[in-house]
Amino acid sequence: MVFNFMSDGIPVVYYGQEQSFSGSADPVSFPPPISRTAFSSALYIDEPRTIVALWVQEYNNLPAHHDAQQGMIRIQVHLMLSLHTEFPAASQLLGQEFSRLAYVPFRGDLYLPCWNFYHERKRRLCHDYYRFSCKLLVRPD
Amino acid sequence: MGEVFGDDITLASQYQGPGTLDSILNFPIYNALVEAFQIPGNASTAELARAHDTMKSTFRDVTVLGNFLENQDLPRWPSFSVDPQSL
Repeated sequence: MVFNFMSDGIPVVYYGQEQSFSGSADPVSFPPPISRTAFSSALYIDEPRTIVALWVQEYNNLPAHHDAQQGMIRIQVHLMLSLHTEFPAASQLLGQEFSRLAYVPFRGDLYLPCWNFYHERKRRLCHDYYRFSCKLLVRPD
Repeated sequence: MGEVFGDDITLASQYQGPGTLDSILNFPIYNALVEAFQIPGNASTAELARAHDTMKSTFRDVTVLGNFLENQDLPRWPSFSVDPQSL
């Protein structure tokens, strides 16, 4: 990286490079703008396993033009924390697989770069990324 | 700024100049940097120096090329180099 900055040419830093993101191929080359470290410090309460699910409730409200909202899209997210207790509401929402989850009433807005979601294909790839790489669960369409 | 994929300096240089593009992404140096600094790798810094010198004599203006290590079409550096300090 130093070479690129110090030698001839115009240095380019791809987002996440400064945080050592390690995605090896599409879609994991497109991680969320929040680093995993940020996720850990902000959301992981006791240990990483506490957060087991996060899903996007309203991501279909795509702006007509991705530049209309400064390149970001606002989605509403819910968090599920594993507290090892039965919680019927969570079970109804997510199925028996998650019957041992407690629903923590966190609803917030998460801003993601629109260009990840601008095309349907990339949007789905990002869903897969959240599902597999971040141990997050994205509610299907 | 255009994109010419690959490490062929002669080929890439044909895309910069009158009637073509002002600048392109610096794939030749990218490939040389990977060869030189990725771990495990060839550690061929001599090749990097050679590529650097060749480009200076081949390209019309190397000062406007886009130096990069990662982009949306490539694996990120930490995914193929085991030592994060190599970034």
